[in-house]
Amino acid sequence: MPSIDDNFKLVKYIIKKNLNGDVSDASFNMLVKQAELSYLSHLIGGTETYQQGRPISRVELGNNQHIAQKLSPFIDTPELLTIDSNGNAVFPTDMIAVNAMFKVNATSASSRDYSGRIKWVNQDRLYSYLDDPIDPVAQNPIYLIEKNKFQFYPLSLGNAKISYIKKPVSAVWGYTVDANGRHVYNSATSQNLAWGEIDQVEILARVIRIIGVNLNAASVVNFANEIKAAGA
Amino acid sequence: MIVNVLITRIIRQIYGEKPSDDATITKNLVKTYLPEAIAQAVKTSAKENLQIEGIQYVNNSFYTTFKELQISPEGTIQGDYKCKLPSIPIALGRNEGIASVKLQDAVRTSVPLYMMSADGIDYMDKMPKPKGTPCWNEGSTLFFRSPKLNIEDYTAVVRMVSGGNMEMDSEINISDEWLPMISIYIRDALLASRKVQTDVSNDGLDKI
Repeated sequence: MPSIDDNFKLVKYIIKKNLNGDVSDASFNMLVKQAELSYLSHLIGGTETYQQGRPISRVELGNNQHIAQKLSPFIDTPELLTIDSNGNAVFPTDMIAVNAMFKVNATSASSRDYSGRIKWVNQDRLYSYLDDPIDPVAQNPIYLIEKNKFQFYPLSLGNAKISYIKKPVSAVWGYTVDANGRHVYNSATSQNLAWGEIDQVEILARVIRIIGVNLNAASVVNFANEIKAAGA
Repeated sequence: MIVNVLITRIIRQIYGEKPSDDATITKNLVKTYLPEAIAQAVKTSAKENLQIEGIQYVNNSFYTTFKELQISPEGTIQGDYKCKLPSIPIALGRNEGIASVKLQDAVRTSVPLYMMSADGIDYMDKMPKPKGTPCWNEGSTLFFRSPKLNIEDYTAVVRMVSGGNMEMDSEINISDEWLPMISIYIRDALLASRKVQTDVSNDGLDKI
Protein backbone atom coordinates (compact mmCIF):
# COMPACT_ATOMS: atom_id res chain seq x y z
CA MET A 1 0.00 0.00 0.00
CA PRO A 2 1.48 3.39 -0.96
CA SER A 3 2.46 5.65 1.90
CA ILE A 4 1.57 9.33 2.03
CA ASP A 5 5.16 10.02 1.01
CA ASP A 6 4.68 7.92 -2.14
CA ASN A 7 1.50 9.88 -2.87
CA PHE A 8 3.24 13.20 -2.35
CA LYS A 9 6.16 12.22 -4.60
CA LEU A 10 3.74 11.19 -7.34
CA VAL A 11 1.93 14.52 -7.17
CA LYS A 12 5.19 16.45 -7.27
CA TYR A 13 6.39 14.39 -10.21
CA ILE A 14 3.24 15.06 -12.21
CA ILE A 15 3.31 18.77 -11.47
CA LYS A 16 6.99 19.12 -12.31
CA LYS A 17 6.67 16.92 -15.40
CA ASN A 18 4.21 19.40 -16.77
CA LEU A 19 6.69 22.14 -15.88
CA ASN A 20 4.05 23.85 -13.83
CA GLY A 21 5.84 24.66 -10.61
CA ASP A 22 5.78 22.80 -7.35
CA VAL A 23 3.55 22.13 -4.41
CA SER A 24 4.56 22.52 -0.78
CA ASP A 25 3.85 19.93 1.88
CA ALA A 26 1.52 22.32 3.67
CA SER A 27 -0.47 22.80 0.49
CA PHE A 28 -0.45 19.10 -0.19
CA ASN A 29 -1.82 18.34 3.29
CA MET A 30 -4.57 20.89 2.83
CA LEU A 31 -5.47 19.65 -0.64
CA VAL A 32 -5.46 15.95 0.12
CA LYS A 33 -7.91 16.54 2.97
CA GLN A 34 -10.28 18.35 0.60
CA ALA A 35 -9.81 15.72 -2.09
CA GLU A 36 -10.71 12.95 0.34
CA LEU A 37 -13.93 14.67 1.37
CA SER A 38 -14.75 15.42 -2.26
CA TYR A 39 -14.31 11.79 -3.26
CA LEU A 40 -16.27 10.63 -0.23
CA SER A 41 -19.10 12.97 -1.16
CA HIS A 42 -19.04 11.59 -4.71
CA LEU A 43 -19.33 7.98 -3.48
CA ILE A 44 -22.07 8.72 -0.97
CA GLY A 45 -24.01 10.47 -3.72
CA GLY A 46 -23.87 14.02 -4.98
CA THR A 47 -27.08 15.98 -5.55
CA GLU A 48 -25.91 17.59 -8.80
CA THR A 49 -27.25 14.70 -10.89
CA TYR A 50 -30.68 14.66 -9.23
CA GLN A 51 -33.62 15.07 -11.55
CA GLN A 52 -37.14 16.29 -11.00
CA GLY A 53 -39.09 13.49 -9.31
CA ARG A 54 -36.04 11.24 -9.27
CA PRO A 55 -33.64 12.28 -6.50
CA ILE A 56 -31.06 9.60 -7.24
CA SER A 57 -27.40 10.16 -7.95
CA ARG A 58 -25.46 8.35 -10.68
CA VAL A 59 -23.04 7.04 -8.08
CA GLU A 60 -24.51 6.49 -4.66
CA LEU A 61 -24.11 4.57 -1.43
CA GLY A 62 -25.81 1.22 -1.85
CA ASN A 63 -25.45 1.07 -5.64
CA ASN A 64 -23.40 -2.09 -5.66
CA GLN A 65 -20.65 -4.03 -3.99
CA HIS A 66 -17.91 -1.91 -5.59
CA ILE A 67 -19.13 1.24 -3.88
CA ALA A 68 -19.46 -0.65 -0.61
CA GLN A 69 -15.92 -1.95 -1.03
CA LYS A 70 -14.57 1.55 -1.67
CA LEU A 71 -16.29 2.89 1.44
CA SER A 72 -15.48 -0.09 3.62
CA PRO A 73 -12.50 1.57 5.39
CA PHE A 74 -15.04 4.02 6.86
CA ILE A 75 -17.86 1.68 7.78
CA ASP A 76 -17.15 0.26 11.18
CA THR A 77 -19.09 -2.20 13.33
CA PRO A 78 -22.46 -0.63 14.19
CA GLU A 79 -22.37 1.39 17.39
CA LEU A 80 -24.85 1.50 20.20
CA LEU A 81 -26.74 4.78 20.44
CA THR A 82 -28.19 5.70 23.81
CA ILE A 83 -31.55 7.43 23.47
CA ASP A 84 -32.80 9.65 26.28
CA SER A 85 -36.34 9.87 27.59
CA ASN A 86 -37.18 12.55 25.01
CA GLY A 87 -36.15 10.24 22.20
CA ASN A 88 -32.95 12.15 21.48
CA ALA A 89 -29.52 10.73 20.68
CA VAL A 90 -26.53 12.84 19.61
CA PHE A 91 -24.68 12.14 16.40
CA PRO A 92 -21.50 10.11 16.69
CA THR A 93 -18.73 12.72 16.53
CA ASP A 94 -17.08 11.29 13.43
CA MET A 95 -20.25 10.61 11.46
CA ILE A 96 -20.53 11.77 7.84
CA ALA A 97 -23.68 9.93 6.83
CA VAL A 98 -26.02 7.28 8.21
CA ASN A 99 -25.77 3.89 6.54
CA ALA A 100 -28.53 2.10 8.46
CA MET A 101 -30.30 2.19 11.81
CA PHE A 102 -31.39 -0.91 13.67
CA LYS A 103 -33.44 -1.90 16.69
CA VAL A 104 -31.47 -3.62 19.39
CA ASN A 105 -32.40 -7.11 20.51
CA ALA A 106 -32.52 -6.51 24.24
CA THR A 107 -32.54 -10.20 25.09
CA SER A 108 -29.44 -11.10 23.14
CA ALA A 109 -25.86 -10.70 24.34
CA SER A 110 -24.49 -10.54 20.80
CA SER A 111 -23.62 -7.05 19.60
CA ARG A 112 -24.67 -8.12 16.11
CA ASP A 113 -28.14 -9.30 17.02
CA TYR A 114 -30.62 -6.89 15.48
CA SER A 115 -34.36 -7.05 15.70
CA GLY A 116 -35.47 -4.86 12.82
CA ARG A 117 -34.88 -1.61 11.04
CA ILE A 118 -35.54 1.92 12.25
CA LYS A 119 -36.68 3.95 9.29
CA TRP A 120 -35.70 7.52 8.55
CA VAL A 121 -38.65 9.87 8.18
CA ASN A 122 -38.69 13.49 7.13
CA GLN A 123 -40.37 15.95 9.48
CA ASP A 124 -43.29 16.60 7.15
CA ARG A 125 -44.31 12.92 7.23
CA LEU A 126 -44.01 12.50 10.99
CA TYR A 127 -47.71 12.96 11.61
CA SER A 128 -48.72 10.16 9.24
CA TYR A 129 -46.24 7.74 10.80
CA LEU A 130 -47.38 8.56 14.33
CA ASP A 131 -50.98 8.06 13.21
CA ASP A 132 -50.43 4.77 11.34
CA PRO A 133 -52.62 1.90 12.57
CA ILE A 134 -51.01 -0.63 10.20
CA ASP A 135 -47.41 -0.16 11.33
CA PRO A 136 -47.66 1.46 14.76
CA VAL A 137 -44.56 3.35 15.76
CA ALA A 138 -44.35 1.40 19.02
CA GLN A 139 -43.37 -1.74 17.07
CA ASN A 140 -41.96 0.04 13.99
CA PRO A 141 -39.75 2.84 15.32
CA ILE A 142 -38.64 5.76 13.20
CA TYR A 143 -36.09 8.54 13.46
CA LEU A 144 -35.72 12.10 12.24
CA ILE A 145 -32.53 14.07 11.70
CA GLU A 146 -32.16 17.35 13.58
CA LYS A 147 -29.25 19.59 14.45
CA ASN A 148 -26.48 17.33 15.75
CA LYS A 149 -28.96 14.71 16.95
CA PHE A 150 -31.50 12.09 16.03
CA GLN A 151 -35.08 12.23 17.24
CA PHE A 152 -36.54 8.76 17.73
CA TYR A 153 -40.11 7.64 18.07
CA PRO A 154 -41.38 6.05 20.24
CA LEU A 155 -39.72 8.25 22.82
CA SER A 156 -39.21 5.22 25.08
CA LEU A 157 -37.05 3.31 22.58
CA GLY A 158 -34.02 3.45 24.86
CA ASN A 159 -31.29 2.53 22.42
CA ALA A 160 -30.52 1.75 18.80
CA LYS A 161 -27.63 0.51 16.69
CA ILE A 162 -26.25 2.77 13.99
CA SER A 163 -24.08 1.88 11.04
CA TYR A 164 -22.57 5.04 9.56
CA ILE A 165 -19.90 6.38 7.25
CA LYS A 166 -17.06 7.77 9.32
CA LYS A 167 -15.10 10.85 8.47
CA PRO A 168 -11.66 9.77 7.28
CA VAL A 169 -8.75 10.66 9.51
CA SER A 170 -7.02 13.36 7.48
CA ALA A 171 -3.91 12.22 5.66
CA VAL A 172 -0.81 14.17 6.68
CA TRP A 173 2.69 14.32 5.23
CA GLY A 174 4.68 14.78 8.41
CA TYR A 175 8.27 15.95 8.42
CA THR A 176 11.33 16.90 10.38
CA VAL A 177 13.60 19.77 9.50
CA ASP A 178 17.12 18.83 8.55
CA ALA A 179 20.29 20.81 9.07
CA ASN A 180 19.67 22.69 5.85
CA GLY A 181 16.15 23.67 6.83
CA ARG A 182 14.56 21.26 4.40
CA HIS A 183 11.50 19.24 5.30
CA VAL A 184 12.27 15.57 5.44
CA TYR A 185 9.55 12.97 5.50
CA ASN A 186 8.87 11.53 8.94
CA SER A 187 6.63 8.48 8.97
CA ALA A 188 6.13 8.74 12.72
CA THR A 189 4.28 12.03 12.41
CA SER A 190 2.58 11.16 9.14
CA GLN A 191 -0.84 9.69 8.45
CA ASN A 192 -1.37 7.58 5.34
CA LEU A 193 -4.52 7.65 3.29
CA ALA A 194 -6.96 5.13 4.72
CA TRP A 195 -8.45 4.44 1.31
CA GLY A 196 -7.90 1.35 -0.78
CA GLU A 197 -4.98 1.55 -3.20
CA ILE A 198 -7.25 1.94 -6.24
CA ASP A 199 -9.16 4.79 -4.66
CA GLN A 200 -5.99 6.68 -3.81
CA VAL A 201 -5.55 7.35 -7.53
CA GLU A 202 -8.96 9.04 -7.57
CA ILE A 203 -8.00 11.20 -4.63
CA LEU A 204 -4.66 12.20 -6.10
CA ALA A 205 -6.36 13.08 -9.39
CA ARG A 206 -8.53 15.48 -7.45
CA VAL A 207 -5.49 16.94 -5.72
CA ILE A 208 -3.76 17.45 -9.06
CA ARG A 209 -6.81 19.08 -10.56
CA ILE A 210 -7.05 21.62 -7.74
CA ILE A 211 -3.34 22.36 -8.07
CA GLY A 212 -3.75 22.78 -11.83
CA VAL A 213 -6.60 25.20 -11.34
CA ASN A 214 -4.54 27.10 -8.78
CA LEU A 215 -1.55 27.28 -11.11
CA ASN A 216 -3.82 28.11 -14.02
CA ALA A 217 -2.25 25.15 -15.77
CA ALA A 218 -4.69 23.65 -18.25
CA SER A 219 -2.34 20.78 -18.97
CA VAL A 220 -2.42 19.70 -15.35
CA VAL A 221 -6.19 20.00 -15.16
CA ASN A 222 -6.59 18.04 -18.38
CA PHE A 223 -4.28 15.34 -17.15
CA ALA A 224 -6.30 15.01 -13.93
CA ASN A 225 -9.57 14.94 -15.84
CA GLU A 226 -8.22 12.21 -18.11
CA ILE A 227 -7.46 10.08 -15.10
CA LYS A 228 -10.93 10.62 -13.70
CA ALA A 229 -12.74 10.06 -16.97
CA ALA A 230 -10.82 7.03 -18.14
CA GLY A 231 -10.29 5.47 -14.75
CA ALA A 232 -7.01 4.55 -13.10
CA MET B 1 -47.75 -21.96 2.43
CA ILE B 2 -46.88 -20.01 5.56
CA VAL B 3 -48.43 -16.53 5.72
CA ASN B 4 -45.02 -14.89 6.29
CA VAL B 5 -43.56 -16.66 3.24
CA LEU B 6 -46.44 -15.59 1.01
CA ILE B 7 -46.21 -11.99 2.17
CA THR B 8 -42.42 -11.93 1.74
CA ARG B 9 -42.77 -13.33 -1.74
CA ILE B 10 -45.31 -10.69 -2.73
CA ILE B 11 -43.07 -7.92 -1.41
CA ARG B 12 -40.14 -9.27 -3.40
CA GLN B 13 -42.32 -9.32 -6.52
CA ILE B 14 -43.24 -5.68 -5.97
CA TYR B 15 -39.68 -4.51 -5.38
CA GLY B 16 -38.06 -6.86 -7.84
CA GLU B 17 -35.67 -7.95 -5.09
CA LYS B 18 -35.40 -7.95 -1.32
CA PRO B 19 -36.57 -4.58 -0.05
CA SER B 20 -34.19 -2.08 1.50
CA ASP B 21 -34.47 -0.14 4.73
CA ASP B 22 -36.33 2.56 2.81
CA ALA B 23 -39.22 0.27 1.86
CA THR B 24 -42.66 1.64 2.65
CA ILE B 25 -44.57 -1.49 1.67
CA THR B 26 -44.35 -3.50 4.85
CA LYS B 27 -45.51 -6.97 5.81
CA ASN B 28 -48.31 -5.54 7.91
CA LEU B 29 -49.54 -3.55 4.94
CA VAL B 30 -49.56 -6.59 2.66
CA LYS B 31 -51.32 -8.59 5.37
CA THR B 32 -54.23 -6.12 5.41
CA TYR B 33 -54.98 -7.14 1.81
CA LEU B 34 -54.99 -10.90 2.47
CA PRO B 35 -58.56 -11.32 3.74
CA GLU B 36 -60.09 -9.52 0.75
CA ALA B 37 -57.84 -11.36 -1.68
CA ILE B 38 -58.95 -14.66 -0.17
CA ALA B 39 -62.57 -13.55 -0.36
CA GLN B 40 -62.11 -12.84 -4.07
CA ALA B 41 -60.72 -16.33 -4.59
CA VAL B 42 -63.64 -17.89 -2.70
CA LYS B 43 -66.27 -15.93 -4.64
CA THR B 44 -64.59 -16.81 -7.93
CA SER B 45 -64.50 -20.47 -6.97
CA ALA B 46 -68.19 -20.45 -6.00
CA LYS B 47 -69.14 -18.70 -9.24
CA GLU B 48 -67.13 -21.12 -11.35
CA ASN B 49 -68.75 -24.12 -9.66
CA LEU B 50 -72.19 -22.62 -10.23
CA GLN B 51 -71.40 -22.03 -13.90
CA ILE B 52 -69.94 -25.47 -14.46
CA GLU B 53 -72.13 -27.68 -12.29
CA GLY B 54 -75.17 -25.53 -11.62
CA ILE B 55 -74.58 -25.79 -7.89
CA GLN B 56 -72.94 -23.08 -5.82
CA TYR B 57 -70.46 -24.61 -3.44
CA VAL B 58 -66.99 -23.99 -2.15
CA ASN B 59 -64.31 -26.63 -1.92
CA ASN B 60 -63.49 -28.04 1.54
CA SER B 61 -60.02 -26.57 1.39
CA PHE B 62 -61.43 -23.09 1.99
CA TYR B 63 -63.01 -24.03 5.33
CA THR B 64 -61.57 -23.63 8.81
CA THR B 65 -63.05 -24.81 12.10
CA PHE B 66 -62.80 -22.40 15.01
CA LYS B 67 -63.31 -23.77 18.49
CA GLU B 68 -63.89 -22.47 22.02
CA LEU B 69 -65.62 -19.31 20.94
CA GLN B 70 -67.02 -17.75 24.10
CA ILE B 71 -70.78 -17.23 24.31
CA SER B 72 -72.33 -14.40 26.28
CA PRO B 73 -75.87 -13.00 26.67
CA GLU B 74 -76.86 -10.62 23.92
CA GLY B 75 -77.70 -8.02 26.55
CA THR B 76 -81.01 -6.56 25.42
CA ILE B 77 -83.14 -9.45 24.20
CA GLN B 78 -83.98 -12.13 26.77
CA GLY B 79 -82.98 -15.55 25.49
CA ASP B 80 -80.59 -14.29 22.83
CA TYR B 81 -76.87 -14.99 23.03
CA LYS B 82 -73.88 -14.02 20.94
CA CYS B 83 -70.28 -14.83 20.27
CA LYS B 84 -67.55 -13.14 18.28
CA LEU B 85 -66.43 -14.79 15.07
CA PRO B 86 -62.74 -14.52 14.01
CA SER B 87 -63.82 -12.55 10.95
CA ILE B 88 -66.90 -11.55 9.02
CA PRO B 89 -67.99 -14.63 7.06
CA ILE B 90 -67.63 -14.34 3.34
CA ALA B 91 -70.92 -13.33 1.73
CA LEU B 92 -71.75 -16.58 -0.04
CA GLY B 93 -75.43 -17.02 -0.76
CA ARG B 94 -77.66 -16.18 2.20
CA ASN B 95 -75.45 -17.61 4.90
CA GLU B 96 -73.25 -20.25 3.28
CA GLY B 97 -70.15 -18.50 4.54
CA ILE B 98 -70.76 -20.51 7.72
CA ALA B 99 -71.08 -24.25 7.13
CA SER B 100 -71.96 -25.40 10.63
CA VAL B 101 -72.26 -24.26 14.23
CA LYS B 102 -72.26 -26.54 17.26
CA LEU B 103 -72.28 -26.00 20.98
CA GLN B 104 -69.76 -27.73 23.17
CA ASP B 105 -69.15 -28.16 26.87
CA ALA B 106 -66.49 -30.13 28.72
CA VAL B 107 -67.81 -33.53 27.63
CA ARG B 108 -70.38 -33.16 24.90
CA THR B 109 -70.87 -31.61 21.50
CA SER B 110 -74.32 -30.75 20.28
CA VAL B 111 -75.87 -31.56 16.95
CA PRO B 112 -75.41 -28.77 14.40
CA LEU B 113 -77.55 -25.72 15.08
CA TYR B 114 -79.73 -24.57 12.26
CA MET B 115 -78.51 -21.50 10.43
CA MET B 116 -81.11 -18.85 9.72
CA SER B 117 -80.93 -15.93 7.39
CA ALA B 118 -81.18 -12.57 9.14
CA ASP B 119 -84.51 -11.71 7.51
CA GLY B 120 -86.07 -14.98 8.66
CA ILE B 121 -85.21 -15.08 12.33
CA ASP B 122 -87.97 -12.85 13.65
CA TYR B 123 -90.51 -14.36 11.28
CA MET B 124 -89.61 -17.72 12.75
CA ASP B 125 -90.74 -16.51 16.19
CA LYS B 126 -94.33 -16.65 15.00
CA MET B 127 -94.05 -20.14 13.57
CA PRO B 128 -93.99 -23.55 15.20
CA LYS B 129 -90.40 -24.10 16.09
CA PRO B 130 -88.33 -27.05 15.02
CA LYS B 131 -86.21 -28.82 17.59
CA GLY B 132 -82.85 -27.21 18.09
CA THR B 133 -81.32 -23.79 18.48
CA PRO B 134 -81.33 -21.34 15.62
CA CYS B 135 -78.41 -19.06 14.96
CA TRP B 136 -77.55 -16.36 12.51
CA ASN B 137 -74.72 -13.93 11.99
CA GLU B 138 -74.68 -10.19 11.67
CA GLY B 139 -71.27 -9.08 10.56
CA SER B 140 -68.73 -10.87 12.70
CA THR B 141 -71.18 -11.58 15.54
CA LEU B 142 -72.94 -14.92 15.69
CA PHE B 143 -76.28 -14.82 17.49
CA PHE B 144 -78.20 -17.66 19.09
CA ARG B 145 -81.83 -17.78 20.16
CA SER B 146 -82.34 -20.03 23.15
CA PRO B 147 -85.18 -18.73 25.31
CA LYS B 148 -85.49 -21.90 27.38
CA LEU B 149 -81.92 -23.07 27.83
CA ASN B 150 -79.08 -20.93 29.14
CA ILE B 151 -76.20 -21.66 26.78
CA GLU B 152 -73.72 -19.25 28.35
CA ASP B 153 -71.64 -22.09 29.71
CA TYR B 154 -71.16 -23.64 26.31
CA THR B 155 -68.62 -22.65 23.72
CA ALA B 156 -69.27 -22.51 20.01
CA VAL B 157 -67.55 -24.58 17.36
CA VAL B 158 -67.90 -22.86 14.01
CA ARG B 159 -66.86 -24.17 10.60
CA MET B 160 -66.69 -21.30 8.16
CA VAL B 161 -64.97 -20.18 5.00
CA SER B 162 -61.75 -18.56 6.13
CA GLY B 163 -58.13 -18.14 5.19
CA GLY B 164 -57.07 -19.25 8.65
CA ASN B 165 -56.06 -17.20 11.67
CA MET B 166 -53.67 -15.06 9.58
CA GLU B 167 -50.86 -15.23 12.11
CA MET B 168 -47.49 -14.78 10.43
CA ASP B 169 -46.27 -18.25 11.28
CA SER B 170 -49.51 -20.06 10.46
CA GLU B 171 -50.41 -21.94 7.31
CA ILE B 172 -52.61 -19.96 4.96
CA ASN B 173 -55.77 -21.93 4.44
CA ILE B 174 -55.85 -21.71 0.65
CA SER B 175 -55.05 -24.45 -1.82
CA ASP B 176 -52.10 -23.81 -4.13
CA GLU B 177 -54.11 -23.21 -7.32
CA TRP B 178 -55.64 -20.08 -5.81
CA LEU B 179 -52.38 -18.57 -4.57
CA PRO B 180 -51.54 -16.94 -7.92
CA MET B 181 -54.87 -15.12 -7.90
CA ILE B 182 -54.30 -13.90 -4.36
CA SER B 183 -50.72 -12.86 -5.10
CA ILE B 184 -51.68 -11.00 -8.28
CA TYR B 185 -54.57 -9.22 -6.55
CA ILE B 186 -52.37 -7.91 -3.75
CA ARG B 187 -49.38 -7.19 -5.98
CA ASP B 188 -51.46 -5.20 -8.47
CA ALA B 189 -53.08 -3.17 -5.70
CA LEU B 190 -49.72 -2.23 -4.22
CA LEU B 191 -47.95 -1.70 -7.55
CA ALA B 192 -50.63 0.81 -8.43
CA SER B 193 -49.71 2.78 -5.31
CA ARG B 194 -46.04 2.75 -6.30
CA LYS B 195 -46.81 4.20 -9.70
CA VAL B 196 -48.54 7.21 -8.21
CA GLN B 197 -46.31 10.28 -8.17
CA THR B 198 -45.59 11.32 -4.62
CA ASP B 199 -45.13 14.77 -3.22
CA VAL B 200 -41.47 14.72 -2.23
CA SER B 201 -41.14 18.46 -1.67
CA ASN B 202 -41.83 19.90 1.75
CA ASP B 203 -43.27 23.21 0.59
CA GLY B 204 -46.68 23.49 2.21
CA LEU B 205 -48.46 22.56 -1.03
CA ASP B 206 -50.24 19.28 -1.69
CA LYS B 207 -49.13 19.29 -5.29
CA ILE B 208 -46.85 17.08 -7.38
